[in-house]
Amino acid sequence: MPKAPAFTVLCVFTALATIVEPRAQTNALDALYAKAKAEEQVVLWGAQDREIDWIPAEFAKRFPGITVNWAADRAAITKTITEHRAGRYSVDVINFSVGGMLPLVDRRLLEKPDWSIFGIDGRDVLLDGTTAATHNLVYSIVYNEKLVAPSDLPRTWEDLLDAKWKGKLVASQFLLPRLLGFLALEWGEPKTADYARALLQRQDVLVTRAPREGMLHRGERVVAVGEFVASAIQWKSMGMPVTWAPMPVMPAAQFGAAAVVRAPHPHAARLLAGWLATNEAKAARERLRFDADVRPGSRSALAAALSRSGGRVILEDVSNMKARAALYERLSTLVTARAR
Amino acid sequence: MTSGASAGELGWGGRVVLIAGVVAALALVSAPLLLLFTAAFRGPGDRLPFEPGAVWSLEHVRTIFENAALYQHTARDTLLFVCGAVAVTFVVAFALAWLVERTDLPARSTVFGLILVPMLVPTVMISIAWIQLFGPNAGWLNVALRAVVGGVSGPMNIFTLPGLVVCQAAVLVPFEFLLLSATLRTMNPALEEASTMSGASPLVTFRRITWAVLQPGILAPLMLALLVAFEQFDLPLMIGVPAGIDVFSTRIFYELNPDSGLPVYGRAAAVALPFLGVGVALLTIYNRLVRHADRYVTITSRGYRVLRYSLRRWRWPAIVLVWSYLCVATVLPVIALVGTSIVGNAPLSTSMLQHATLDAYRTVIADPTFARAVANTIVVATLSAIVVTAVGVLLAWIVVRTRVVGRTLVDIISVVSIGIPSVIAGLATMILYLSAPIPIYGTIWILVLAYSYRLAVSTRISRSGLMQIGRELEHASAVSGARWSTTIRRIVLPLIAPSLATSFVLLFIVGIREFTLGMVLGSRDNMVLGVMLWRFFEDGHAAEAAAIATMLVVSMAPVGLVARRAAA
Repeated sequence: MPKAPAFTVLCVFTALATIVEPRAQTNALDALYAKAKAEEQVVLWGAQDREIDWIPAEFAKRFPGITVNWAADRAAITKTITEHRAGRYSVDVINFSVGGMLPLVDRRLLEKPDWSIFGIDGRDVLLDGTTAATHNLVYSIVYNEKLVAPSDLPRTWEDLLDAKWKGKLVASQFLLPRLLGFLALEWGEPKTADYARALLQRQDVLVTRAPREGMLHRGERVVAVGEFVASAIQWKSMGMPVTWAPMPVMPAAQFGAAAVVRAPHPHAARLLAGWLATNEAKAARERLRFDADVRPGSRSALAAALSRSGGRVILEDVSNMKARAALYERLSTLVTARAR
Repeated sequence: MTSGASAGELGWGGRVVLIAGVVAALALVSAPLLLLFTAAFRGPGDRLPFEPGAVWSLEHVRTIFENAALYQHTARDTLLFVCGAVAVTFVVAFALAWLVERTDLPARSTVFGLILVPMLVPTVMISIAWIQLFGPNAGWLNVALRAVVGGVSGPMNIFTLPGLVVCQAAVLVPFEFLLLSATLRTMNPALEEASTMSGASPLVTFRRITWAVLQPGILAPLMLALLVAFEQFDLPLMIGVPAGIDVFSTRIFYELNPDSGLPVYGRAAAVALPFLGVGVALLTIYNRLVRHADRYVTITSRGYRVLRYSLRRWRWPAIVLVWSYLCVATVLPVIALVGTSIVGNAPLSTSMLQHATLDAYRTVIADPTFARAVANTIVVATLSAIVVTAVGVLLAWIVVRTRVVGRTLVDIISVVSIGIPSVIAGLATMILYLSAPIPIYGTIWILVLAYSYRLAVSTRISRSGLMQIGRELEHASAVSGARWSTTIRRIVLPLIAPSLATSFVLLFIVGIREFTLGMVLGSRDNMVLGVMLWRFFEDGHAAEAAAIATMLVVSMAPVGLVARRAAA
């Protein structure tokens, strides 16, 4: 029985590891919280109010004594770079799309904290260890459920080219080219360009920056192409008769949180950035703002719904980001009437 | 005095004031202008223009201007859009201004106030109101019309070039009306009276006298309308893109919203370069047309009184025309706005009012930032309007009354300021005050300075106002021993008060509606209403955004009437 002692030792070590590691994590987290609390506040920047305005109250429940001061601005990344160039440091944490955060990584303006003390899966740490995944925005179709019967719904992206949808589709000028960029990764650029032309010219899809939810609600158009599933859930919660339907391929934009170097409140920055990527914060985000994590291993309700739908989610990742950005650049000229 | 004011007349005090005006103008405009040029000619695109790694390059200019589609589609669409919108705007605004200022049209003050109302509403909200009214499938007016004429879609479709042109014109008419009414109000009618007494018909008098004398006052608003229409991008994005219309200004938006990475400021700046070229070209044309400035003097030492034509048999057609315009351009959009604020995006139906609620107003007023945003907005809009009006009148006086070397350059800088996109101006201000040891970043004071870069409106209005005043008035004052400052305070300023009031009101309203600069330079402490509205709008809270817009209309509507009284 020469292997028995080794097996026993392995078992003991494994058992100890399962007990000791979480305790070590807890200790490290407590120590970080204590230092963060001494800093009293933390400054958070994001792109839109709804993505971050829920955070102060939820963070305060988990870590009392630290005030989250937040500001939403699509130019937050430019502002961060400009401030750092000028030697001013006012932001601690950025919660943004990972594509938007790339310029900060390129300029080494993001920290590489120890994400393990928050129990974050290594697969959810992105951008060279600087960013932890927080949530995804999943593209699909959204429709007016009073005007479109479930049996009539398109089952694939190509179904939208059916003559019955002519003059009934709307799309965001901002989101449609991004959707096409993702689809081109799957279909190839020529097929996607043909698809885009058919949507725009044959189906007369209404591409606009005006709010699509209003158009769906009023019946100006009945199906929105390439909207976020979370938006549909939010609009429904506001009393609008809209909902989403799955597609066989559903792209998912990736968002993450990161602590900024030379943050004025460095410990609070690490604490907030890490907490935003925990299951606890993700659950709060989904409950309050409907934005959910759909990465592998996610426990979100949306991830489960997507799984049940049978659709396949294409995650935005560093590996496909540059190729998709180039495709977006070319395909967006079709959408915005620059190429006809 | 045809050779301009002498140094002796100016005195030290006058010289100091004028130099201060020029320095202030350069300080306000040069940072955005320099960044515009720097950004356009520094690359690569993934570097900000002031960062290490950025070098002088033609990359952005080539990317934009070597694209054949720019000339095949964008230039053509822009030309059609701008010319169409400005033509409609000008005809409507001039007719309204003439009826209000030069005839005995009833309820003129009420009409004046109502015409200005659409200008109080941020353009994004006006465009949503127009879509709500004229959307081809579910627009309230189309639904109502179909109940009479039948059909499944239309009969009107806002998502067309004519739809875009009419909507843009409806947005520009109040702006143009305000400028033209100031000109018409200050016009001395003696020449028209002489023409009439000589037996000329009203049409001949209008063509040969009124039109000719008013040229500076008409050309300046026309020039401003062209520049403003050229740089407008809200309506082209909301209504033009669905119609397949691609204009220069929307390209700036595309370059600032890339799929990933940083906004490509360089390409956005390159797209804006033609705006500056158009500004310089228009100024050159304007200067040629008004080069014999003395021809346009209508206010002389002999004094004058305002003459109003009696409409007589045209009274009722004029009333119908004016109120029809007000109904379409003011009343209907305001109804759509108020409707959105109480029923959200609900479709037109007999039951929609059953769901009406004031919750949106409660939400906005209960927002902890609302009170601060109101106060900040008033302070920033008021101070920036005062700064720009004051600097603008000084620049205009230098250009019209002196032969100072470099005055044309100052004039050009003030005119092209209107072609600088807000986002570029915001970025320039951010860089300037982050680098300078002046602790105003993140405060309302940075917004006051940032809002003050658009000098074109004030200099154009003041210039045409000054050109209507005979120089002999100032000369007589100087000969009587008055100092320059006394002459300006007691002679010039009272006579151009209507122009100054117009400039202030316009800039104040622009300041109230502005949100781009507030977004770029914003913090929790300097939140303004425009930013608050935009955030509700972006987050899908149309009712709350409409509630803010409605409150703006209600609270700001008296501003136009007060200005009219002050200027009269």
